[in-house]
Amino acid sequence: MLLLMACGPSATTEPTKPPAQPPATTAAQPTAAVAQPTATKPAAAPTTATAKKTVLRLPEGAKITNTMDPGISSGGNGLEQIQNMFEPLLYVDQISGELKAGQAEKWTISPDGVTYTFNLRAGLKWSDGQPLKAGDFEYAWKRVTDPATKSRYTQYFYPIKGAEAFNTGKGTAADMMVKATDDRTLVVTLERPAPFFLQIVAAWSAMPIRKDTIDKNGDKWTLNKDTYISNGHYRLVEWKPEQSMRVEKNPNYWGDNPGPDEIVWTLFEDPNAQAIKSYEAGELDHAQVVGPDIPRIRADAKLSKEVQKLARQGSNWIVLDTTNPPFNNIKVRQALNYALDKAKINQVVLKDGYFDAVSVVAPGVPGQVNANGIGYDAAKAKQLLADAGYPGGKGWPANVKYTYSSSSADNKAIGEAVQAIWKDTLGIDIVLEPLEAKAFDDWRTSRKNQPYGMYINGWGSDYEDPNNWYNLLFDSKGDFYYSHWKNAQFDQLIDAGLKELDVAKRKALYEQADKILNDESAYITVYHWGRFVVTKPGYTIPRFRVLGRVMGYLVKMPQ
Amino acid sequence: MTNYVIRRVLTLFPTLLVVYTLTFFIVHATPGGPWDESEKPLPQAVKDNLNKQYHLNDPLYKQYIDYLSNVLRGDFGPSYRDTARSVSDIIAASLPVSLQLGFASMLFAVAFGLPLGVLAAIKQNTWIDYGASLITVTGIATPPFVRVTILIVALAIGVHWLPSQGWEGLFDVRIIIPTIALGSGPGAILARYARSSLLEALTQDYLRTARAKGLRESQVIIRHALKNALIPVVTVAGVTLTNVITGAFFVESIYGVPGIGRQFINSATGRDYPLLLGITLVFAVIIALMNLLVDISYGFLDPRVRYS
Repeated sequence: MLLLMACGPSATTEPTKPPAQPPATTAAQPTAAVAQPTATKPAAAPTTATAKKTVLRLPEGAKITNTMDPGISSGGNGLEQIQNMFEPLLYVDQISGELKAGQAEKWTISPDGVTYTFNLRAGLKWSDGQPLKAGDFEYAWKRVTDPATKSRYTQYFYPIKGAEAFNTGKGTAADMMVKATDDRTLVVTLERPAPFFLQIVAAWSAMPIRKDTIDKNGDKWTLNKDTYISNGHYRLVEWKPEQSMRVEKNPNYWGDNPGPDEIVWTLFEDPNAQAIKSYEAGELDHAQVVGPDIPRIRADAKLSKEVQKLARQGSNWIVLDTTNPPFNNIKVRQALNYALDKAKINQVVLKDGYFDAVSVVAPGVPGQVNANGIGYDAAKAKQLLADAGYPGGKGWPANVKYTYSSSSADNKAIGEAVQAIWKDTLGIDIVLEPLEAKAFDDWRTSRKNQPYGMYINGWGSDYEDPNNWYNLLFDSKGDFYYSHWKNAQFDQLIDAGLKELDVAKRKALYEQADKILNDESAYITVYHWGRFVVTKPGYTIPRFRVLGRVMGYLVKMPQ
Repeated sequence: MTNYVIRRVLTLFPTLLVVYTLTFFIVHATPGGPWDESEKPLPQAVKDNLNKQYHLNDPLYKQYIDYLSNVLRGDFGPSYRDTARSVSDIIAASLPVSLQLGFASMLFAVAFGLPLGVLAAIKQNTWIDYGASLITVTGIATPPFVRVTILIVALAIGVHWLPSQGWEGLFDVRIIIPTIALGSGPGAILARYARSSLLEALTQDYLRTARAKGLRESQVIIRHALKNALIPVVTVAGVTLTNVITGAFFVESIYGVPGIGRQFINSATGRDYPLLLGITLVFAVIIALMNLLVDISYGFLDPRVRYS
């Protein structure tokens, strides 16, 4: 018996993207000369053909290059372009965060939670007019998992039966259980139930890819508009590496696209610091603002009306080596946590650039509970440190190191603030150890089996599910951050949560785990991610708290 | 002369081998690898697979020989960060940009520095000389990334005369800001060298001879003094042209010019070993050729210099 998911709406009930009617998408395309000969919408309304093209101008990082391949990208620069040009079976609504039907019109999950069947919409096409088939998904998913593809994002397919074996060289592509049973049906069998699997189906690695263009052009398929064949709202017009990328509406997209006719991204070496200059020069419609530009823009009469502070689901935390003295003592860890005035760090030191830390995991992730967080309590912190054997900081070991990557000015400011706060509140000394970015990565990797004091690092959601935090980062078997922290009860709770199909029960399991994670204080969160953006008056540009890339079809341009 | 040039070109090969060897072992001795690229760490399993796929787990001597033999066959390998383009593709795209910007900047430097230096020397110890000193010292003292930022703030954000960033080739207004930012430093240096060597030349005996022959003062300076005074200036110009082509990282980054200086620094900070090695070898060739050109130009400027 199959269970029909309630969250899988059919095409006709899809509110944001009604199926395209003939005049809708090609009408605004003055570049009719390049329209595909196989396009099924020849009746482009001539009335609007002379209307001025609407163009949205955005910034992006110049180091986009390896990541324009959805199967290889680790989700950095270039993801916004990928998301605008490709569409997976399901996608995450950038306003509500819900999963919505993309290339699939419906999907079913077997009652045991291991078999997923996706039914593709009828008449799907690639941007060059060729029909899009379920086999394109099978090919893409197996390609990501193939170790020879050199993907940066492989392990997200590990829930699929046979995927881990194939990726680690112990199995073959044929044994990876994703199969196109016909042109419109994709059947996936999982190793075990994975309630978060639909989130993975909506991620960029699960986007379809055209085999013929890869076979013919290899890694260079991303460089050119004729070889970069996509299936999303937009398609490539021109990419000048390190300079700009231009996309136009994809006339072969199944749905409507009320967004701008074109999007142009100017590529900056450091868009966070540089894009604001071009925005102020009138060359961009939207930009991010960081560092000293934030107070300047908030004080500016004109720009202060254009600035917005947005949440991003992420945390930056201090990781403690819980097997190395003095941090093997839970009271010491808790003392440090209670003594750290997180609101002061964000508001005074970081000029309110982020959001005040409330708990280890960022707010919004199911399972995270604000009340579980360790707040600021100086008296309690002193007491705990005294109980641990260091009253007023007496007997505190010398040379306890706090290591950080010197690539970010924030890291330096935070390190100095943390050092001063703990000195003032607890009377203890820590030594700051800045390392060059790559040297820091190297150092961090070697912490797997070498003792250390503490370091600062962070995480942001790839998708909004507890699995992407509790299981991936804090499971003692994985020990992603090498805190060496082990708690049998925590591991048990998150293992149960991983498989639990009942949404409410699952959330409750993670909430219990969240309490333990905060109480144990192996991770002391300093702030939650946020970002400041400026937008020209008249534009509406929604961004969701997870990934938060600009989706052109949701942008409202000034009339 | 021909023999001299051939000899010089031949000595380039052992030089390149030394450069390659030193660079290879220094970059591999530097801590960190090429894979972590965002604010979040990559899972270890992914890094392990990438190391395997790119043969980074092979013994170092094997990597050294493998890469060298590929280079000898003309293959600089793939870029680690830029999977879609090979190292050769990246150099072919970015080197011409830097050459164009470099020559435009040097042209600006010569057009602005040489007259200024000559003027300061002729009008030594007048207000013209002092004014020129002020300009040149300011030019030498401000680094290019400060000059380019000031120019952007003033000309792009302030009065909207020029775009705030970009590159459209030699004949587009976007070249103005990076050219001034890059060229004014070398221009100031050229002015200082031109002034002091011209002052020295002006005291030479052969100038008195030239004047005694009844030549006009402008003829004396241009045909006799300046030609001799140019030798140190040409030396400096050769070095600064190389610097402008290879060292324009900040200006290229800030103004969005897709040049090779930017690729070079990014390949070093990103531990993109093949790209770093490839660009280093290209830079070594440029520097060697530039030195050769400077040496050859001495022969035309100074009849006492002869190559055999």
